[in-house]
Amino acid sequence: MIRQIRARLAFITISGYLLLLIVLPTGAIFTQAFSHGADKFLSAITQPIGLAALGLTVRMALFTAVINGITGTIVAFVLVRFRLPGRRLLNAIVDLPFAIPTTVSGLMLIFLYGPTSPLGAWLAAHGVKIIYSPLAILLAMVIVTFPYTIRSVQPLLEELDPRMEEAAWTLGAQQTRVFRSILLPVMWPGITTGCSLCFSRALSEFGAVVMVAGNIPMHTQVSAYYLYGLLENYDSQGAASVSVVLLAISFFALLYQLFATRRFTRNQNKRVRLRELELGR
Amino acid sequence: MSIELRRIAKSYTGEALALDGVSLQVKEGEMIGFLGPSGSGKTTLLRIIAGLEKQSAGEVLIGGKVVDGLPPQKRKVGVVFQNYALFKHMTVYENIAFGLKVQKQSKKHIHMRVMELLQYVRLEGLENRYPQQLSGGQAQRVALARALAPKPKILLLDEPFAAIDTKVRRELRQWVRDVHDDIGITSIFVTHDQEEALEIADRVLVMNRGKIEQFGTPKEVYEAPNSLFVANFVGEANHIYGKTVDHRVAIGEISVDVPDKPDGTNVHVVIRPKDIRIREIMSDDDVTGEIVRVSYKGDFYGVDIATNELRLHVYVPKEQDYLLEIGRNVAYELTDFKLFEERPMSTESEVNPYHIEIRKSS
Repeated sequence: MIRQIRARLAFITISGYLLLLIVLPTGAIFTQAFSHGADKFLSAITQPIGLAALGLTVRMALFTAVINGITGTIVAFVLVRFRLPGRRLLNAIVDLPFAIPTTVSGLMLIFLYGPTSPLGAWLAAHGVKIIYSPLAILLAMVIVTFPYTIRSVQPLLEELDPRMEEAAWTLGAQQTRVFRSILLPVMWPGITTGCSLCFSRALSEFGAVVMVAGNIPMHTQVSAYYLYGLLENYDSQGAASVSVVLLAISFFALLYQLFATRRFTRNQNKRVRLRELELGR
Repeated sequence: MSIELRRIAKSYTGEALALDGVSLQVKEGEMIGFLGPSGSGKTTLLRIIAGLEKQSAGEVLIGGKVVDGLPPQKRKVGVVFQNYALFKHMTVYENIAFGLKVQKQSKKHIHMRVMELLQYVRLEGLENRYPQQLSGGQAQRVALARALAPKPKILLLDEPFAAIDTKVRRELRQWVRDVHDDIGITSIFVTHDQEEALEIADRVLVMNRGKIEQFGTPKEVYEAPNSLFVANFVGEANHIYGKTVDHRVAIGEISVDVPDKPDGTNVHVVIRPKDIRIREIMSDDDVTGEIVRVSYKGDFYGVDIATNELRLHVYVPKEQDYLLEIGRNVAYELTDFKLFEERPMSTESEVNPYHIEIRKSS
């Protein structure tokens, strides 16, 4: 009886906490977004400046996912496979982007690539402008989301039996074939998870991007900054509407990732279940 | 195909030699067992033959040709790995077909070969399973089929039965031997289980600390071990330590001639349990001992006999079970033993082909 009460109490506490932390704020956004009807919502999210910002944000976030998907996989591979001196240090450095406040990351980019720095000046002299261009946004997003793919691919590679590769060699497979047929399929779930996390996180990045983008409407303004601007101008309904769109995109990315990993683990589970059946018989 | 190793050495930086001048010849169609404790270099030797590791010195010849420059892809060597190393994300069918796909064979040919192998390893109907869905024995058979698919000239098996239940293991190793005979391939398997090596190998290579201790038929290795290490490692044995006195050494109450050893030599006597016989006491001259333990082993009994100074483990045939009574005194005699000179600071020991002469010590 007491245990039952205790369990119920725990459930209520956790639900209440989640309600307060996630559900209610989300609900508030939706209420606010539709407070003046669907027409107002639609017009808020179809403002040309807002649409441009959204397009830029999604495009950059997708690039980020692709770039970090590839480089992250390579870094994970090197960290696991090559017993380099200083590997531990390198492994610790990977997590730095999570530890550094994102605005600081943005600031670092400005100091390195800004027109006043030697590197920035040299690049400008050669016609490459980084700060206050979409390229800067991309850089900021890539830095902030750098660890995701590495951390999701790494454990899969560590688990991989190196004898699987050796077996492939003795069966005549060259290294490219081994990569394509053995390594890539093993790493794939980690790569997709990493990419979708990168995408969602890049989509919502504010601090680092705001510092380096210059936030020029129609050019380098991202959605997060656009909605911040709306709020500054007391257009809370507009800000809420843009938020709902961002939320929806993030939500679908998350859903897709859950679906992808679920499908993967379900297949694994099915295999295990079948094996149990077999053994039981 | 024949295999020849010439003075193979392998050293890792900062460690003792993993392999130290190993030379041997394997004839076409033979099945060889590499036997030794862990760290003896047997797996390293196998990996060098497969081309998965490079020797520091020496040559590997397959079919009379030096293959040192060839990567594992080109050596035509099939390998069954410890724990099988099946491709987890591929079905049984895809696993077996892998080597054929790499060779870019036609789909039809691949299908025929895979089906043929599935039937051969008795796994028809399991082709769409994933490795996780297989039992140990089934996985082992898939690994074997996968290795055999591209028709290798040599089959190498690294601890192939280590992860399998005892009962299945026995069946499986006999079956692997049958496969070997049937295909007419040259095979080498690595094991630390002497029973396994003696049972299915044509010849056994006993290794210790990167060196060959003995290379011979199971009978030779078991009955005529040429070192103390081999005598210890292969088969059960009684060990008796003694010193020569007056060109004789005492084994309990039995004393044996050691004509060419100076007095005071430390000797180590090894007696197999099957080389001691027990019988009823018939005269006062009999050497006797008391039965202190009897364990049933199926075809025979394992019996411990305690004498005044030592305890001997003896195999007693079923027919003599009327003698086996704890506390009973029986007579025993030695039919064979091996004697090695003790050399403290060294693992090497000498062969001493003595004839047996048993006499009650006075």
